[in-house]
Amino acid sequence: MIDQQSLQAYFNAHMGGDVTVTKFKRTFPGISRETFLVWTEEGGAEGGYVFRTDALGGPICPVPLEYEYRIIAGLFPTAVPVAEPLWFDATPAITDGRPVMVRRMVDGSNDIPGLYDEGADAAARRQRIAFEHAERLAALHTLDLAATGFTDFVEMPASAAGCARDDFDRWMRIFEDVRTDPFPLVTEAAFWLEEHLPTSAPRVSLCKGNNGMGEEIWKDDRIVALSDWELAFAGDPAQDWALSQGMLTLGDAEQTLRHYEQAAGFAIDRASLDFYRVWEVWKAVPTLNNGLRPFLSGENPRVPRLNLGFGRVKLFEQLLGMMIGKPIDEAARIVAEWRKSPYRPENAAA
Amino acid sequence: MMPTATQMLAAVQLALREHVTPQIEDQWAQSALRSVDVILNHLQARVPAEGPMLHQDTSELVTLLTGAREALGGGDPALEAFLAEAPALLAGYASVEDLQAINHTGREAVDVLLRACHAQRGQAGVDAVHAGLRAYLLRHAERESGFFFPTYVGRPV
Repeated sequence: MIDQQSLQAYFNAHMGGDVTVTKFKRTFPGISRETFLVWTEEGGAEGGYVFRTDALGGPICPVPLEYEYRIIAGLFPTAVPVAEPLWFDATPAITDGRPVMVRRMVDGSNDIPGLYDEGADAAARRQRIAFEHAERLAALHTLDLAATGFTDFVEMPASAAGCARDDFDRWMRIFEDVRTDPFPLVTEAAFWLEEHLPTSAPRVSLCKGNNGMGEEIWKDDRIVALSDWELAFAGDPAQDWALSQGMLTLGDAEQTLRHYEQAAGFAIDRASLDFYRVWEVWKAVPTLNNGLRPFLSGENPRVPRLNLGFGRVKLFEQLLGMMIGKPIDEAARIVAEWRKSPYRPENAAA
Repeated sequence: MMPTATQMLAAVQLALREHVTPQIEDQWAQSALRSVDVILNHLQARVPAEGPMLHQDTSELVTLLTGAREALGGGDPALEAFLAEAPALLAGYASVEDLQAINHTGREAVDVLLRACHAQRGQAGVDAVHAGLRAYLLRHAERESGFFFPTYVGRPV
């Protein structure tokens, strides 16, 4: 049980005795991993930390927490804004052995008040915010992966041309390892998608995975930290734009992409972007279905696991059934329409 | 006359919507209620239809997989187990749990056959089996569509 007393003991053990935990709060939603904001007093000064651990039975996303920590640690010395990583604990007692990572709290919020206000000023602001996000993605995507050490632990495609193939092969292995049902329609959808794998990319980039609205920390309309790196991978930067959660509909999509291309110095292939929009629907099946395993085993019998790992997965399976065999651009339009559902931040705002 | 399971689930949902949800301000509790509401929608669609759906779907699988075995050969454990057990199960009274289990085995066999078809595509007879399997997959998705769509569209948590 994580409470103030156990956090107090934990932070004392890591930081010495002059730390008092003054309050803490579990962030919402945090279904895959549990995140706690921890405020402290240290020798008369205030401190703030983010304590993150796997949920009971393991995370939804089939990626170890240590991988996310190493990504953040690798990014911290670069121009890409991330929270300062402080330590990783593989099996601490406070969580009964679930891994923990601790970062310094960043002053900001993943919410942008007034973002969906009416009027020309608000629309212009949304476009500026989309540009800000594009610039941060460009900084990430132009990192030298060898010089920053990511090639030591991130699975690397052999070439830019092999980015899509590499991601396909990796996620087929994960699908076969984690699925809780045969999902033959998902297998068939994979074979259909395999016929359309992009065979070029501007470069092999470190990609964030989930990014965009709700994923980053903002202050005064600027990104102060890119957050949530559990799905980071090396691949085609177009793939990150397919996962940019509301950013391409925040302003004018083409203007936003051109702004990015100017900052990055290379172009995003729009056909590749279409492919990755559909591919991300497929990838959501193994990613979320992995979260059902602790539900079925009884380790985590909670309703969000049931809804994400089963219901949501079956919904994505239905969506794949609507698209299978169609031209990829038509399938991408189906995804775009579906993405307008009320759970999207821009549609849920009302 | 007893109320049906669907009527009882709907009553539970109504009670939560009328008397619990309006009182809840904590965002974790609101999220839990949203999730419960979605599950109740799912169950109201699934409980009355799942047994007949699985019976129909599994019957189609018997025909489909018998033909596939004739065309491509047998040997896969899931395929053999399915074809050995399914006809007798379908002929008698089968519980929903038994139908779920045999349907799962049948779909495991479909998955194995799809992979075999993919590896041997272009060969005589293979493409026809593949087309039959794909058509089945879409019918299966259509049969269970109402369990998940639009029930699970909306906020995920």
